[in-house]
Amino acid sequence: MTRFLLLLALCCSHVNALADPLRFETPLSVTAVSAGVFLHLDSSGRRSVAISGAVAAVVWEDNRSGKPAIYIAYRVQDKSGFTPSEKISMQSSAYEPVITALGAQRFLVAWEEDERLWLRVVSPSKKGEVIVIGQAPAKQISIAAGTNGKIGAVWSQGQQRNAYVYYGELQVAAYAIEVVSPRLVDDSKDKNVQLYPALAFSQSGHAVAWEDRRHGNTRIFAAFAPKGQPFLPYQQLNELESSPNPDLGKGSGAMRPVLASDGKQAIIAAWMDKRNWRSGYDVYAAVSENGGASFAKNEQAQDEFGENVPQWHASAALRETDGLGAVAWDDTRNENSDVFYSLRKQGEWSEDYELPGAAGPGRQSHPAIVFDGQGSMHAVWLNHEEGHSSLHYTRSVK
Amino acid sequence: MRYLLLLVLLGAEIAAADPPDNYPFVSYDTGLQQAQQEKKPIFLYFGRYGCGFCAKTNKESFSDADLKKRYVDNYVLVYADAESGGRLTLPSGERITEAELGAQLNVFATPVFMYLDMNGELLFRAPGFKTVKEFVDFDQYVQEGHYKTQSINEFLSKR
Repeated sequence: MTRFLLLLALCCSHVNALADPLRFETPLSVTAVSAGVFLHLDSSGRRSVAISGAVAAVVWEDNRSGKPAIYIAYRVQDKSGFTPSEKISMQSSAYEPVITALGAQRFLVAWEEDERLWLRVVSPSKKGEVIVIGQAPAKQISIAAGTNGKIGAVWSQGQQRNAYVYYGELQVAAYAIEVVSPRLVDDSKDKNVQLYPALAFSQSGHAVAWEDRRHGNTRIFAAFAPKGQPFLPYQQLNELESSPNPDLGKGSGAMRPVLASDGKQAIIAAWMDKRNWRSGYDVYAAVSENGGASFAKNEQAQDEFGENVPQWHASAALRETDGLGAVAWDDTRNENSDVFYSLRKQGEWSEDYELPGAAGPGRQSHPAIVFDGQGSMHAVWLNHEEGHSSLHYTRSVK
Repeated sequence: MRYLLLLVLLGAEIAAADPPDNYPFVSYDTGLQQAQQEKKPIFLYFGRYGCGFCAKTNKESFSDADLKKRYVDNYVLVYADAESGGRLTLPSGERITEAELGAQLNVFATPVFMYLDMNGELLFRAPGFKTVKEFVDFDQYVQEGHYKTQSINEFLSKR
């Protein structure tokens, strides 16, 4: 009897440690398009939504003008809807926009256009000048801002197997941007193709994660730059089997890393990982508690119920107020694609929760999430139903 | 000599990530257009950088000269990298990446071989390593029109 009670107590304590699902507002439509127009929420690092003060901003790409272009919409002061879509790219086809929050209801946005990368500071009331960063051909830009005022960008630059990840510090004054000495993140001699970088700032520096192909398959690497210093040598984030099946080649694939910071010393990395290759990609994560200098062991972020189907489009966020971690993705465990999220509390991942409004009829996919300074999680995703596409947003409430 | 060695090494590295050497593989969107023009079905090969079974298939099956002639003659050959951010434009006008195409077609392990009609409609899919004989059987299933009356498994069970 005593043993049974002890077991029960242990079980209960474990359950209590797991994070409960968040409660969300009724979703809002950010934009909707007619048949023949296609919305995309794709970007390196999956940064499609950002919060500055009382303003939420969402960026995406669609072809409503006849060619892919970048658009933004704002939700200002808890209003019941988003502002009309505003085009922020230039005249050519533009792709893969990312956004990060600056102060005073301003946002920094970046995207690819004409094989070059572009930056712009925008707000609900003003759009700054567009400036270029890096050298063509360049792609897959991601940006981040730290609580210490640091702002930076990472991107992949160069042709094919000479595509390497670069980092550039950004100095922003109101709506003006200055790029400070872009440099390679990894200066090692054996580097090979480097793609899809993500960036996060901590109090002690900044971390970059990317897809790296130097070992003959795609692995996730990370490098850390202590504040004011160059990047230290890279480390591999995704763990491989100690005795891999030779028929599987150089190792299972991993791709599309994302990073999120709590603004202090915690950084969470997440990516899609095919180590359980029979069921396709799973969402794996690793957490750093020392500002990105090193990451702890890999953790499977999703629960067992998602094992039989692949997961796609992982996005991560970390809450400043209490260190709650979150990842969101889409998968087809309910036959059609729905958005799920999982929460990491005190080192334990919760079960997978459906994101309210992002599950059910139609296909819901491509989530991007972020926490605001008050601890609310903001999420955007795509909905495809009966030939029409729309972009939706929700926010967690206390 | 050193230059030649470098070329050989470079070639070997590229071969680990790409479709078999000397086959006229094209991208998915190009292949869809080509299939319409040439009135041919499509053989769609989904691979991944460093995929061991892809390399095994390239080495043990696609190295067969007769198989190569059969597939080059009978199909528009399309290769997609399941991890690639390379952009494609679908017939609907949507622009997606090769990785997104894999997500839409639920390609979660590589290689996956798909046989499509000239309009891009899926006839059947064959995941994993395949022998020369299996590829020949698949080709007969498509070219002789058996897919119109029976599933691939029904067809194979009678052989």
